[in-house]
Amino acid sequence: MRGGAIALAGAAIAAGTATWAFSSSKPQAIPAAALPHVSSNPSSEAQDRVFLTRAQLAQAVAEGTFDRPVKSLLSVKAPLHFGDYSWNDRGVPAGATWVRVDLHSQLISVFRAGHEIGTAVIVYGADGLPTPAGKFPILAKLRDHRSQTYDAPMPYTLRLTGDGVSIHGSSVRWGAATHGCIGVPLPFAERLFSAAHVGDEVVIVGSPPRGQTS
Amino acid sequence: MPLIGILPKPHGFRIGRRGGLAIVGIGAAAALSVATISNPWLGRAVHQGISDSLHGVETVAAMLADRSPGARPESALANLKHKRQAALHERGLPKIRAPYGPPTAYEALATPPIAPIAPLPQAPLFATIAGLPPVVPPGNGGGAGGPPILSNIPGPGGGGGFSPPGVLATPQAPPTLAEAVPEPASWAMMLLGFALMGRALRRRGAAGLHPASH
Repeated sequence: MRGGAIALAGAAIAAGTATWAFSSSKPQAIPAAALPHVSSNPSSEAQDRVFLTRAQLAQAVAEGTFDRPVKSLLSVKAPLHFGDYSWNDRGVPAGATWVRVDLHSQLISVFRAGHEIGTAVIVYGADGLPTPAGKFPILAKLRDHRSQTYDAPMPYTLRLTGDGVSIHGSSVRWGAATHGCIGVPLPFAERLFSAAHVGDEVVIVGSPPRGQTS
Repeated sequence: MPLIGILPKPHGFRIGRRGGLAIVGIGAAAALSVATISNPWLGRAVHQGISDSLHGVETVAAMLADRSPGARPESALANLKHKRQAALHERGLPKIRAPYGPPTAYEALATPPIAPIAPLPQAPLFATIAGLPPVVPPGNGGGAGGPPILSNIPGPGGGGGFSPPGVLATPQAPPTLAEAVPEPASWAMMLLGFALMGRALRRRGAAGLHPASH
């Protein structure tokens, strides 16, 4: 009986050691070609984007979708898959840049001068480590950031909060969640890093409580 | 148009095909209005449908929903992208034992309590004046058989050492070796070996007990 208990304990220790050795290996770096799928096409501007009518904008503001005027959205014909993004700033004038993150629909949208210039599928914080909702100015831009907490590369980081919540390039795939950051496809992160400036506002729209369908 | 067929035709007034369609439309609108007023749920649905269409124009919420991959399922919440590396520089070491065990009764008796350090004597410790006997400081020599430096007379225990008066060198007991504790890998290897031995024995026993049957 005692020998069996010792054997079981030894097996458990061995299994734990093996698990530890396996888990302590370095995380894989983000592949350079991280599933980019650019859906922008060189067609006419009218086909690239949808200009909102006054009624559409009024309804979007009334529903809380937008909190400021938006003139046009990118024309995305089909649902984006994980890792997909769309970027098209052709013909869009210079102006104020802001970012809208919708946790429920798992989308990020980048606006410049009231026009949407980019959108992508995101990954965000798990339930135990939720991504905070609200308005956050970009505090810092870190091109080649590597997290010491998680020992993981976080390229093109846009720091949002003092405790580390950021938007950064990541391997966006189905079933993934983060520790609170917002992960975007790497090519999209590079474009966003170039378009955004310190002080630009990021609006994170929270996810509805579990169990509700809206 | 069966509905037109059952309608009475007043004298001198002929309902044409267009008139019939108008009547059908008016009737349908009236029925829908009555149903909407009487049933608030249907009313909301109809209002939602109308507002969604905005006279054939897609709403902003609908446009964003069309490009979304959907809400994150529950199953995605357990799949974190990076494992926290909080114990990055801390390894699970085996139990550390003190190199020396607690003092035994013999050692406790043999080791006198350490007396407070007395002030050094005023006399010169290293009298090298010719004609005077060399002064040997009291106390045992700490050196292990080193050549005498200050005196021609070898001191007890080899001399050459120096220790303040009043301080007794405590005899050091031979260090007791820590008990060997098998590593987890050793445990696993041992258990694996036992398992293989048991399997081999069982196979051998089974082969002897059960000869080849027909």
